[in-house]
Amino acid sequence: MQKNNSIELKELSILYNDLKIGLEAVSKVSFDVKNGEFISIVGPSGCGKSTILKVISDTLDLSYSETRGDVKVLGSSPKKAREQRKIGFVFQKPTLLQWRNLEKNVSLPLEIIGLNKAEIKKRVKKLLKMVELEKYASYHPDQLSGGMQQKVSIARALAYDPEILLMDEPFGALDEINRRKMNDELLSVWKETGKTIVFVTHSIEEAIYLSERIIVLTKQPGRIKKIINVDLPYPRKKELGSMKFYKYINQIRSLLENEEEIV
Amino acid sequence: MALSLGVFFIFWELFVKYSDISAIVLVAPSEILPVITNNYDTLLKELKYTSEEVLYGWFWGNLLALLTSIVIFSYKKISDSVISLGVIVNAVPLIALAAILGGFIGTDQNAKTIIVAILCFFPMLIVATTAFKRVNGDYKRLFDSYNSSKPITFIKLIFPASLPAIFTVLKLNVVNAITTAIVSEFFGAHGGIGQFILARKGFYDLPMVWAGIFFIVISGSLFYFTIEIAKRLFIKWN
Ligand SMILES: Nc1ncnc2c1ncn2[C@@H]1O[C@H](COP(=O)(O)OP(=O)(O)OP(=O)(O)O)[C@@H](O)[C@H]1O
Ligand SMILES: [Mg+2]
Repeated sequence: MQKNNSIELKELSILYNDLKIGLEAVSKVSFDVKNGEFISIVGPSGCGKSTILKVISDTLDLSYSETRGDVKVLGSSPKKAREQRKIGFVFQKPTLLQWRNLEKNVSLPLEIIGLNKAEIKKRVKKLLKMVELEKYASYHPDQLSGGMQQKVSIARALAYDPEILLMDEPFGALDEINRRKMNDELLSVWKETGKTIVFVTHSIEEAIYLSERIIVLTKQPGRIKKIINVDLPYPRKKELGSMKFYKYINQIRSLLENEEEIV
Repeated sequence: MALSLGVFFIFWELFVKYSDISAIVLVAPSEILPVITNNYDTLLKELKYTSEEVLYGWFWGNLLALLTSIVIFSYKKISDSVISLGVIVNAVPLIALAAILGGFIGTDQNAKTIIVAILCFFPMLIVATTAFKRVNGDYKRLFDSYNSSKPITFIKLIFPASLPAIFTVLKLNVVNAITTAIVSEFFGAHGGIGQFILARKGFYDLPMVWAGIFFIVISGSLFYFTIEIAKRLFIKWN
């Protein structure tokens, strides 16, 4: 394990065996994620993107799956990283607890960890401010838009200060304008906190807009097709219509289209 | 609510008055009312007898079922078979048990309470176990990523998420408990509204029978709405 790597995958293969015939979801995938890096994973539906995140976070149900290869997270096993709460997970759906208000949703992981009340209060306040939702602290999730809910779930994932943030299509359900807004906010959170972020998306544009590197996977079983360095300066708002941006879009699109699958 | 009840009674009164329905089948509200006021104490006594069976049976049946489902929830194999058993149990009219169980347990008030408890037990056991198991996927993963212990995950996630389903059965079991108490009183009892109705029917004292039905319907509705209100207090998010 290199010192400046957060995550290292070596020849990772994952097999689901809950069906009669086993299904290979991921096949011999190797890549590293550097400390503080923003990396995206794109690939056809069902190519194993979510599965890879589950393995990294040690939340794959082992009763019906089999993992081969080597996974290191912050120098040790995913299990250890999870037990030390080094990983924050943001899902496609906000996954908020409906019976708790925003404040209590963000404080959930802190309560579980067992922080004292004063410290919890302080942190939650800061986090809600960061995602610009202080005014809504006492609101319940069903009183908020999907975008706002997702911001809460990001704040919640950051609450216990994990070193790695795994995000599985977090803005997939948002409209174009809100998605762009959330992208900018995520980038500012990234800049502010310096977290390592692994981001799964179906949007090529979003991946280019956000990440330093993009991993393109083949269709199921997912293998690495190519890893692309996105050589564009942040903030990338000005780059959106640029020739270079367009070139990246085309490159990734043709990589995916070669798979004869619609993303 | 009160208005629709009023309309219902007026309609009922008019229906009995202007149709030639036999007084053995249906009695007008205007005939029932004086019977109720004249026999208020008797009716109240019988109602109390039945209500105790219903309340205690409902309470213990639900409570024991909840505790049992929490225990078996930790054992995957058992909870899976409880859920598949549920399919069978739900297809069987458990109320038939009321008749059979009476023979085993007896005919006194405690026996009725036990029968009510048993009939409340199974629906709650099955629904609660199923609801606990249904909390899965990303929510489970979320708590795993916090390295949350099983009891904490249960208290903070699985139980509150299952509350809507649990309350649905609590309400269903109100009706279930009342039906069971009355029916098992039909099969022999030392008191209670069911036994009272049966006895009066023997004398063709129809207004009295209806008075009994009235009493149980009204107190049953009160019980039901109490649970409904409790549900709304507990579950604000649904
Ligand atoms: N529990 C499971 N049992 C069997 N097969 C599964 C299971 N979960 C996922 N799979 C299969 O594994 C493959 C990868 O699934 P995964 O969810 O990781 O894909 P994905 O890349 O995240 O797809 P999407 O873009 O649609 O979210 C798919 O073919 C899927 O059908
Ligand atoms: Mg997925």
